[in-house]
Formats: sequence, C-alpha cells, structure tokens
Amino acid sequence: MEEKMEKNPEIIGFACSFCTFKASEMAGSLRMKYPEGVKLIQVPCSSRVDPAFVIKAIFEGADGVFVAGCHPGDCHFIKGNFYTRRKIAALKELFAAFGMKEKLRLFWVSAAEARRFVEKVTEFYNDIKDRKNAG
Amino acid sequence: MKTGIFICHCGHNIKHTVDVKRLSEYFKQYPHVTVSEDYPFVCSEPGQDMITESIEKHGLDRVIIASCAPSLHGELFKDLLRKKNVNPFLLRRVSIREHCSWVGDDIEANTEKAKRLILSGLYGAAHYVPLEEKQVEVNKSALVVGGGVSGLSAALFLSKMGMDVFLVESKAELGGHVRELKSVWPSRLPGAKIVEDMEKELKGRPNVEIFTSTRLVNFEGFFGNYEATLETPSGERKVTIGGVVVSIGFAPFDPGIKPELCYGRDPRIVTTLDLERAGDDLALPEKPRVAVLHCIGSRDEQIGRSYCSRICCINALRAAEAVKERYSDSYVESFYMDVRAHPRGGEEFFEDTQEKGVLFTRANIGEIVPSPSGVLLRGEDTLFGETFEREFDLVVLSAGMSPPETSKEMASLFKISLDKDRFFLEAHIKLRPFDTAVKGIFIAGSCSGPKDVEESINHGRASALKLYGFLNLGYAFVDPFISIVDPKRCSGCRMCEQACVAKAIKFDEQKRVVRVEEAACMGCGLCNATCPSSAISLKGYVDSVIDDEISALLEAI
Repeated sequence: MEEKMEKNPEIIGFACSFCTFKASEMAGSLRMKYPEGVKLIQVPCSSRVDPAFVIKAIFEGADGVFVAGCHPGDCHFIKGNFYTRRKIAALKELFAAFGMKEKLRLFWVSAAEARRFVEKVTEFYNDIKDRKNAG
Repeated sequence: MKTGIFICHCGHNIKHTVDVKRLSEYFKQYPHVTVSEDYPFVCSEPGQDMITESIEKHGLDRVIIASCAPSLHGELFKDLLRKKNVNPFLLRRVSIREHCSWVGDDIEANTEKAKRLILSGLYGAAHYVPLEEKQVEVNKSALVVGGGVSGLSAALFLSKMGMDVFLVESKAELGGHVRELKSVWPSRLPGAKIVEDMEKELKGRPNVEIFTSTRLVNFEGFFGNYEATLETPSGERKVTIGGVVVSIGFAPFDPGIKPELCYGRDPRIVTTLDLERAGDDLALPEKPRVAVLHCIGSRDEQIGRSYCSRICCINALRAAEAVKERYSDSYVESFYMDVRAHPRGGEEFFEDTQEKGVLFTRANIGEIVPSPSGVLLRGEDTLFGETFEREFDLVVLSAGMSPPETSKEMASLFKISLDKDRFFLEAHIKLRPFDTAVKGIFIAGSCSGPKDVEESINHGRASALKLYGFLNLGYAFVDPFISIVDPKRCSGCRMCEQACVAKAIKFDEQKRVVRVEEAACMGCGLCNATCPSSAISLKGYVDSVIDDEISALLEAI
C-alpha cells in the first residue's frame, strides 16, 4: 500500500505583547522547540482580537487558531482578557455549530511561562495534526 | 511605495537554520520591494550604515528588518529612520530568530516559515501610516518602594542626582533584613552600621521624603506622570512621580514548611539568623557537636523551589566558622549538596573554613529527630551511597530566600510580571536586567531573585541610574498606539464606551458620535475589536494590518 503523505497543519496564534508574546520570545531564547507550523501575530492585548480575524484565518486555510493572553487578573490593560474570554466563548459556539469547535483554542500564558507556551502550542498542533491526518 | 527588506544572519544564529541568501533573493521579485539584502549583523555599525545608505539612495518609505525579537534593539533601529527623516513607525521588525531559527532545526521548514513571517511584515507594513510621537513632560521625581539596602542605595543615588525621592517602607524602620545581621561577609561590618550610615545620609538630604509604616495602596498613570497613593500612619497621601524603583526584598524561607526538619519544635534546631541573634546566649557544652545544613528551602523540587538562593552557602560557612572560633574543640560537620560560594573570595573562604577543621559531608538529610540526649540526623551520604545516623548538640539550618509575601499584590499594582517562583521578572535577562515590561518601573535587589548584600546595593544603584537616565531628559515620547474614531462611520451605539477599561471614550451628545481622550487611552485595542461599524481603530494595529498579516502568513495573498 502506498504510504500516505503526512499533512502538516497551519496554526495561527494571536499573542498579546505583554505576556504570551514575551513568553514566546523567551522560549526562543531558551532554544525550546515547537513545530514550524505555529505562527504568531502580535497584538497589544488579546482583547484586540476581533472574532473576524479568527474567522478570516480559518477561511484562508488555517487549520487551527489560538488566542493567548495574560492570566485572568494579570492583564496589563486591567481586564482586557476577560473580554477576550467572553468573545472567544461566544465564537466557540459558532464554531461548534459548524462542527469545528476544536479548531479554536484560548489559553493563558504569562511572560515567565516559556515552557507552558511550548507545551500549549505543541499540544494544540498535535491535536489538529491528528485530526487532519485521520480523515 | 518603496520598501527595503534587511535580513540579519545574526552571525550563525539565524543563518545556521534559515537560508537567508535564498530569502533575500526571493523578496527581490516583489513589487514595491526596492532593496532586499542580507547581512551578518544588521545591528552592527556597518549594518546600520547599510540601512541608512539604502534609505538615502532609494528614498525608502518602509523598512523591514528581519532579525531578533522586536523587544531588542527597538530604539536603535527607530533612530536610524529618525536620522533620515523617515517616520519611525514605518519600521517593521520581524522576529526570525526567537520565533523561527531558534525553535526549529529543519532548514527547509525554517526558511519557509521565515519567508511567511517576512511576507506578513511586508503586507502588514504596507498599511502603516506615519504616526506622530507625542512628547510629554516628565516629573523629575521617583518613588522607591522598600527601604532595604537596595532601596536605600537607589534612593540615595537618585537624590544625589537631583531627583525628588519618596521612599516607602512598610516596616517601622528602614534597613530591611540587613539590619539584623551581626556581621556581613566579607567586610564583617555589622549590618546595622551599613544601613544606618545610608539612612543617616539619606535623612540629611532635603529632596528626600521617607515614609515608614506606610503601604502603597494605589498606583496609576503613565510614564513620567504616575500617581501613587500611600497609606501613611498620618493618613492618606498622594504623590506624583516620574518613575519607580521596586525593591521590596525577600521573605526568609520558613523551615517549618518542611516538618521533617522539626524547626520551631526544639530550641536546639535553629536557623543561621537565629544563631546570630542568640550570639553568646547559646547554651552549648564545652565540646559541642554542631551540624550545619545547607540548601534549606533551596534547590528543592519537593516544595517547588528549584532555584538556588545564592546567599545560604556563605551563611552556612559563616555559621560553621563562628562556632569553630568560639569553641575550638567543637566538632562541626557541614552537610551540603554542592557548595556554591558565590561572591568574590567565597571559594577561599570555603577553603579557610575547611582548614579551620569544619568537616564537609555531601549528604541528603532525610529527617531530624530531637531526643533528650541530642538531636539525631538521619540521612544519606551521597558520595558513599550509604545511610547514616549522627547525634548533635545543635543543628543550624541555612535557610534560603522566598519571594516577598507581597510580590503578587505589587505585581498587579504596577502591572509587572512575576517569574515562575514569584520573584519579579526582568524585561530581558541579559540586556535589560533592571527594567520591567512597564516603562519607568524598575526592579532592584532580591525581589527579582536572590542576591547578597553587595549585589543588592549594586542592583539598587543600577536601577536608579537607569531610571535617572529616563527622567533626566525631562520629557518622554509616548507610544502613539492609541485609538482613533472615524466620525463618519460611528453610529453612536456606545458599545466601545462600555467596553473601554480606561474610560477614554467619551460620547458627544450633540454630534451623537464618540471620541477618544488621547491621554487616557491605554492602547489595548478592545474598542477596535468591539465596534460593529469599524469606526474606531487602534493606530498601528488597524484591521487592515492584521487582516493582511493573516493572509500573508497563510500565503493566501
């Protein structure tokens, strides 16, 4: 039997400047490895992420999108991430209606949590990859 | 539009896993890309010259630098554009080191990723518009939070440089933990003398105001114009300052957290600090047997403290030496994991202590069992791989440092970050070790990780110097990334007004549209994401920038 080519997913992540993007910088400095398919867009605060951006990314071929910000209570902009949480929860409902709830993920990573950043994105990537190659 | 793309090799750091030559060739074919070059170190002087020359020669109006993370060299590259009269906000940094070459090993995959990242920079920057940097006046005054050695030295330095200083200490007297030390190694001066000298000098200065038994309860504003609310014994007090040095120190590790050490349940089990305090009052036999335990509360995964506290090896050595000096016939055994005698002269001190007859045994201590005849230590000799039991008259625990109890509270007041151990996190471990992510707020002393007295004093001065550098200019540029309203599109639904955390959005009853109060806007972009009619946008992060970045990252352009 012909061996199937493994498909690598494309992941777009929105990372807030003050926590997650800082953590990703630190992860790079510490030479931690994560898949090349994960690409970040820097936003000042996770609350800047318009749900339309997420939908656009999916339309244009992203296999998964994540939004990541500071832990609740730690937002540099006081409570922007609470709005993000609400928005993404609502967006997830919409995604669920189209049977693609798993394509969207929200998580919190502080500036110090380089390891957590790598774990979270790798886990998401592998999840999406398994689904992509299962069909 | 004329865009210049400059791709950095960063020596081998980027070149090693990204085919930079192929990338610079690839981007030459793009319309609007006038220059596409790769260079070994773009941040070096010849690298900078290359950029300025290209700007001059080709009249570039967009500059894309693909190199290290944007938090590094930010001002350096902006200045290049300023020098050539190009608006610095037409610069785009693309991180192909921290986000690409260092995170993967496959050259093909990395080169493809770097290509997409640069492409997203190219398409994003195409929507950039020149932004105006606003100059604001800066208060030449500083708040120092915490009156330990680092805070005292920071306050002293700032005051000598002519800044008005407000020093806040939560305890009734200044000096912190150092005040309690009988002799500070290596000068062997009493800790109280060190802090009292500083305190005396500080109190004689007219531009210093000291608040003891005072708590910081509120903090707001922006760089150059922060306002702090202090809860002093004589009531509330508001001060306006330009910047802050946070030096709230540490909390000594409480050995009671490890019940197997029996600390606090027997007077013969003491910490190094208890030993210093007791001084001559210790009731020991003529030929005492004393054990000194290193690494209490340090390098201990079981209690979630993997860090080394840096000061406790010297403290343990000092305790061992002190006992040996007082009781020459004593038997002193030191149980260590590794001896990390950090400061200068530490190794020699370690050797001296050995020569004075202190016995060093590499061991893990499992438990301490007090009995009427003595205190029993049970442990494992990690060099021989054997277990042992030994009885002592006194057990000295060399306890490490815990993060300050109020670190979480302070971090949320100042909006600065904590590391995994709950010490304050610096902006960059090597290049910006005193800065935090918030402009004008600096950290000093042990609150940013364990430090000894000498290091704390130096750290305090260094942070003060950095803050002074910012404040002395008398003005500062504020980031122009604030929201702007297009009144033609605004329907006056006021959803943004409700969402805005900074209360920067005001509704104009007459015109039925909203407007943004520039000084109050924090630049989070929440209103931009909330507006149903796309009437409000965050400068620098407008919808079209992010939209095109998404498309470029997915090569759907």
